[in-house]
Amino acid sequence: MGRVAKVLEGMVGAALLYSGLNHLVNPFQFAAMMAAYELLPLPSLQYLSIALAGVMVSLGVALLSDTCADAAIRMALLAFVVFTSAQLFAVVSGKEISCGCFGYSNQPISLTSISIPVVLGVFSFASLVMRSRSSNAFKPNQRVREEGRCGFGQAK
Amino acid sequence: MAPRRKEKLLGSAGLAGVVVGTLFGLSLLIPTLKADDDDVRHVLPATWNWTQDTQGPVCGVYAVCRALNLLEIAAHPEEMWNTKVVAHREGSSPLELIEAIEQYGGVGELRDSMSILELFAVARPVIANVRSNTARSLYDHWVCVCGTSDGLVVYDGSKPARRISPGEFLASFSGIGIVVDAGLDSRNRCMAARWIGFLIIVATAWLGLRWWAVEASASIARQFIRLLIVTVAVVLMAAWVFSTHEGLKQGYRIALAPYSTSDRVMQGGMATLEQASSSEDYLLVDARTAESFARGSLPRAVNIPVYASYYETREFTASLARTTPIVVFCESERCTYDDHVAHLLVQLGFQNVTVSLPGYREYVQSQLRLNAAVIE
Repeated sequence: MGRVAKVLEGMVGAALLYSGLNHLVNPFQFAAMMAAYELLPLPSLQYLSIALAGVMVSLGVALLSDTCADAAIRMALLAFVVFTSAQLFAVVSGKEISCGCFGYSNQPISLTSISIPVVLGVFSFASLVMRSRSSNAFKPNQRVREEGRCGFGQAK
Repeated sequence: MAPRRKEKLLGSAGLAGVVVGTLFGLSLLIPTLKADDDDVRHVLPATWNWTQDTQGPVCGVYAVCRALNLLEIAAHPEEMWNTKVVAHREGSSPLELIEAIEQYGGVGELRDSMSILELFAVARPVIANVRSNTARSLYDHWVCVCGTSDGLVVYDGSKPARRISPGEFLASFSGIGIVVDAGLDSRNRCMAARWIGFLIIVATAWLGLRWWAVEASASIARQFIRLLIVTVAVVLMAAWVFSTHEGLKQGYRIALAPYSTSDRVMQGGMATLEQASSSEDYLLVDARTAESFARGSLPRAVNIPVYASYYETREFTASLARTTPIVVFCESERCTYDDHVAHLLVQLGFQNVTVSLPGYREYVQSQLRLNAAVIE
């Protein structure tokens, strides 16, 4: 995998880690921000808020440490697509709410806040493409090294 | 002497009979007396002073004074009103509060995304940005908060200090806080608390990802499962580091209140208002200010003003059964005070809360019309 892809994954991972940690600090506030979107049933939010923050941290660490990164970049791409859609839905519905991107902000959803997941989604997609190309171009002797990527596992 | 003794015995027996009879009669009367006390209002405190200085533009002034007083720096809210620093109509900005603190010789440091760890670690008063009313989603209020060995102590306006659980506090906290008297020592402790918390979480995730051997390239699904397990570990660790189980449920209830109560408040008309004002089974709540209530209200109405805090209202209604039917009204059809109070009551667990569309004004007009019709 190229250096460009690693840089892109690092940026996506750092953003996810920063956002996840900020949300984990106060999951109640994150739940309230999600409730403002009025997309999900309220009883689910108390579990989803802390679970999503945990997922963000896991994905961030996975991408930064290049561990389980194949799955992590796919999940990150899915998360950015969902988040962008949610923000667009809020704009279309005329809601003036905080995007809830990196913790509390009193600024309502704007082009800037929508562009954050769009840009990160593009980075994730580009990285995913580069990953799949590099895995298609595997040489037999490269496979041994790649197998150890997720964990300390020894290739068989 | 024998007849006299007999008379005495008969007299004593008669007296005892009278006493027993009286007691028996009283015991029959007691339920009747209790029946007269069935008014739901009797479980509420007889007198109650609602504090209103906690709301509006002066909350920052009070929070600054409390923080300075805790550091043994003499400061009084009225002095700050005179300085015109922190008491204009829109309330105070963080920078204005810091300016006011510095005028009294203190030091204020603005921080954001503060965690519960930092609130405790800083060991100094923090002026925290919170929601003024738990039924609202805006963070428009300042309180002074102190982390002590017994928990969080919150100073809200001139009210007495209140000890609340970290979960309850976090649910209303925006994360923006001003650490007062932030010397190098408290700053270091604050930063250390933040980074130690973050490092524990990141280390949990990293170790979880690296722990077991897995043939990564073989299956994306197995990587997903690994990520899922790590997420669970991260969530459990975060719950342990940044929160406490105490108040967790309450915290979510407070945080989601602005979005969860609207569909549980019923709407009522003049008939509901009149029924509540005449029946002892209903609690009729006047949501107007204490001054307006003192000038006159509906028969049987009790006052829970729009500026009543969640905690004050919780204390005031503590003895009231959650199934009690409650009707809330305010000045007129156009006012929204009743909505605020109704949402607060639903949030406190009351299951039968109705907002009356007609208010005090409409009720008075209706009574006047009724009286005029009777006279005619």
